[in-house]
Amino acid sequence: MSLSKVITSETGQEAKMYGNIVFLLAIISVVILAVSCILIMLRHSDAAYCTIGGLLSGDPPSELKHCYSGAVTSALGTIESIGMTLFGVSTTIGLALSCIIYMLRKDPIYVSITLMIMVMLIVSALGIISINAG
Amino acid sequence: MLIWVVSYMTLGMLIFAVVGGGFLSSQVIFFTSLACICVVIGIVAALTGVGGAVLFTPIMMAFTPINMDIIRSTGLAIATMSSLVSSRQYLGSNLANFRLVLVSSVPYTLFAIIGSLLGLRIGVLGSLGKAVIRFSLGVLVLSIAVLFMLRGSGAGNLSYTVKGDKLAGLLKLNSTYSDYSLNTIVKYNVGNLQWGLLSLMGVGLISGMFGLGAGWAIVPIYSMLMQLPLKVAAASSLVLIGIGDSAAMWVYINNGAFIPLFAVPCLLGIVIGARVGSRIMPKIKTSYLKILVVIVMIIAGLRLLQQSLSILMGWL
Repeated sequence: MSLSKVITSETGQEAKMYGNIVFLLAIISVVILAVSCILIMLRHSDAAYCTIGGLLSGDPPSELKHCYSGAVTSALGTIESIGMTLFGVSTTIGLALSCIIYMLRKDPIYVSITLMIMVMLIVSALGIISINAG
Repeated sequence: MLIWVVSYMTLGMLIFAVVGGGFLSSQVIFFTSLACICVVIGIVAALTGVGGAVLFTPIMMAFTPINMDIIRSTGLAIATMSSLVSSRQYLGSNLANFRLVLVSSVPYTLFAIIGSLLGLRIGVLGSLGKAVIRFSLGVLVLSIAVLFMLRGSGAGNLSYTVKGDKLAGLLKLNSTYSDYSLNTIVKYNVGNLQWGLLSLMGVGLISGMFGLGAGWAIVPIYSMLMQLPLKVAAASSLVLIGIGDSAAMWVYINNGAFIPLFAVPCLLGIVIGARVGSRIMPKIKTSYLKILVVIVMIIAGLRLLQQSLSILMGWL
């Protein structure tokens, strides 16, 4: 049997599914983030100037968020948030699909493990355990 | 191919937007310099086998005035991005052991979250907290530089005769992978699982606290402690980092420390650099580059210590 046939027969579907999904979502999220950055620089250069100037001055994140003010900048900020969220939840979505495959295979151990990891990712994403860093 | 095209296009659009937006200021120079620096870091990281975040975070913290929470969140994003774009290839070819990654993710992710919470908490203590983080990171970076100097070629061998422990058997972690360079299928067992998982707790804590990728620690844990073949260890490590570091990254995102205008050129630069690096690797002698990387890490580590010692001495 050739090596490629061995790979096809032995490679878990859940692993391949996870790999494909996270790859795709990572690319899409970075493109969304890049587009939002471009729009902010072209449409609201003052917000970009403010942010980059604050970065160079060593301002903390709480100061930098004041650079995004006004309705349109807020809208562009929303696009940024969508990109960030997609980037952050890509692993959660990939794990959810893998979990479904494990359920179909009736593998309770890995269903439990995958669910455990997803719970940690979701708790972290929702900021349920958080800290006010100022 | 897809990521190659997309990365180039988006970086090109960003540069066009910067130039087309009529920016002619030090901020523009900073932005384009940032992207170029990250391309170089990505190339060097790919050529030398050091993670992009392991170079990015200490260099940025040592040599720029940017807030350390922002740098750490971007470092985690870089590590996560590298993992997410590589996972498909390694999982598709069964080089990464997905079950082992899932089992490892439980302690690693939990402690990565705790590490990032701790890191932010320490930073809130003002200049003393920041000095503690800089000092700790300086010590860590110097340790990594020494580790990098001392590690062997890691050629590995085909006879993985370790029996594998019962827990690994119960969890069906023992597996095989296809080694194309040797045109054979290699069977391996996972050993010392409990000790490996315990070690991953500490690694997760460090990764979350300092915003570094953890491949420099996970690969030795997998290959030396858990007796995995080196290729499997490296591939599985990369997949694991994506899961754990994305959880740690959320802590920084929820605190507003993820700044897309800073992170996006860094991410694109690192990804493009890594792609370029992997392409030119067969043609380049990497031994001199490794020496350069060690020197850069030592300088960055010493600079971090120098920045922090004056504040720490004042408190003592």
